[in-house]
Amino acid sequence: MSPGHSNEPASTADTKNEDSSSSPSNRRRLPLELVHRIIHLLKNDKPNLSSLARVSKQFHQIVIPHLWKHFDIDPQMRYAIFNGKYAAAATGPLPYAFSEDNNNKHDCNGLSSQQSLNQIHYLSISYHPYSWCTDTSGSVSKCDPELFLDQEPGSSLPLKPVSLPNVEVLEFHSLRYGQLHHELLWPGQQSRVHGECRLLQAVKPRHIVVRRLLHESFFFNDINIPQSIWHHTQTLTIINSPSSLFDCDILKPFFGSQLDLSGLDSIVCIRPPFEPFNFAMLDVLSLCQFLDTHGSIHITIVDTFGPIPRWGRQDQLVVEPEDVQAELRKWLRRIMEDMSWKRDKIEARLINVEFVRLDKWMEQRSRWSDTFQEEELESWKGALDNKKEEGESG
Amino acid sequence: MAEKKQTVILQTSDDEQFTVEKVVAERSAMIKSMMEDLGDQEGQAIPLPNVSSSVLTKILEYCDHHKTEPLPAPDANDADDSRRKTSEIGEWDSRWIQVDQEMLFEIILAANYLDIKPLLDVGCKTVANMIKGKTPEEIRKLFNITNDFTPEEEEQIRKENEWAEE
Repeated sequence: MSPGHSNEPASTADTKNEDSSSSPSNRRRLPLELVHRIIHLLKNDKPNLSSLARVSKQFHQIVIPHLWKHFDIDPQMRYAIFNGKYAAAATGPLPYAFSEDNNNKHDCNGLSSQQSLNQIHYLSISYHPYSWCTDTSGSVSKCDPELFLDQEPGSSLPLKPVSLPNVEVLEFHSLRYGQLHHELLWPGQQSRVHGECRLLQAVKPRHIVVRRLLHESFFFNDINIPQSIWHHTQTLTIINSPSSLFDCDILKPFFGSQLDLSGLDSIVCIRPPFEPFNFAMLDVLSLCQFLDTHGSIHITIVDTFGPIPRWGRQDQLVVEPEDVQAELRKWLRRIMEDMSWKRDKIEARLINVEFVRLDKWMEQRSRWSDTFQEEELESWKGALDNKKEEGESG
Repeated sequence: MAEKKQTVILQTSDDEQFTVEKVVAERSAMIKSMMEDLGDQEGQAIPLPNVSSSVLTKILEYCDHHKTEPLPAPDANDADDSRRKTSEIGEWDSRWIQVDQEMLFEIILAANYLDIKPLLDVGCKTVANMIKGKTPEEIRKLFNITNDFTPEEEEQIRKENEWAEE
């Protein structure tokens, strides 16, 4: 930026200002590049961005990309359900953004909802009302009407087709019992409604992130993820829960082989530093079975690599992280040999498995910059440092 | 060593001249490069037509306080984005920048013109903190901006972004 460069905001000074101490004629305005810089500092502060968006058309243009870039369909949902407040749970941004009520009527000066939806780069999906995913043809009525009894009227507006053209990353988080549509969780609801998730049909993500923070399994098969998703997805990142590393159906032999994963280049399994180390034998077995059918997918396992028992010697512990990685590789090799794989195949598959220590992985920005926000890894760094201190003082 | 301090003369928009230690003045990447261009022409004043004497006095206070710190690398500007975002304003800086809003904006404009990156950061962070919790109308006052939305448009934007407000 050149020092003399000044780019005055387009709007004119407020002429009817009563406050004499800051008469607008004396006050200089900040050039646009500095307004950008200031708003950038607030980029993760959604409530303030929301106020900034309403300041002026120019501010709206600057703010919208920040506000909508990382979009969580409803972070309040889970709490609302735990509290038994179902109606509250059905509110969220999408019913308004997608409703036909909002279609064209207020679209003036390019301030359309679609403009905001176009900004979504990272779409985070948790379980949400099935009514959000039904179209104007009224698929809702095909379901048990009682299912939607308690919803707010606003949430059952007719919805227009969804377009989310710029979603690069699709994240699944907080799925209760592996379900996307939370009507399925109603007490006494026996039959499972297998309606396709309309949101998923609208995206072509390059990356899928599965975040399993609760003690849950994750089954792509149960959530009706359209097969077409896998045609576009190059990487799958699984952020692990405390439960077993490969408790995700895509890595299970049966479900995994049902999916056409030919577009997938790489799977990254990460265990955040908050979770206790629990590298089960079962994980290694699942991994081998997965590798059996998916030889071309690169697997990266990111962990702190705490102590594990030596192969065939349960009484001996391998402690140093580097030794643990070597030991795990040995486990893999032994299992592959037990499965009577040919030597060439074993070598080829082992090359595709990479163990990376969490701290080293975090240092390599290119490994995570597409799928993670800086702030999240900052908090991981804090947790890692704490652990290290504990280790040293203990 | 009692070496004579090297100085430079700065001339403000209201024609005041300031004799300033070079280590202080070179906090400004813009002045630093001008000094290099001028070479050894002693006594030649560097004109700063965009900075008034009251703002320069204030800014020199900052530069003097920070004169012993390493200068940011010239190409470090936005690559170091992450540190800039997360780090807080230092204790001395936050006391120093407690000025009225007009002065604050003048400082930011001058820091941008003089190319003093750490100072620009302090100024922008201060404004960002001022925005927090303010209504759109209060933000308009702060930035001296007129609302160019129709009431319908503003309501639409409010509804559309309502989800972000909790």
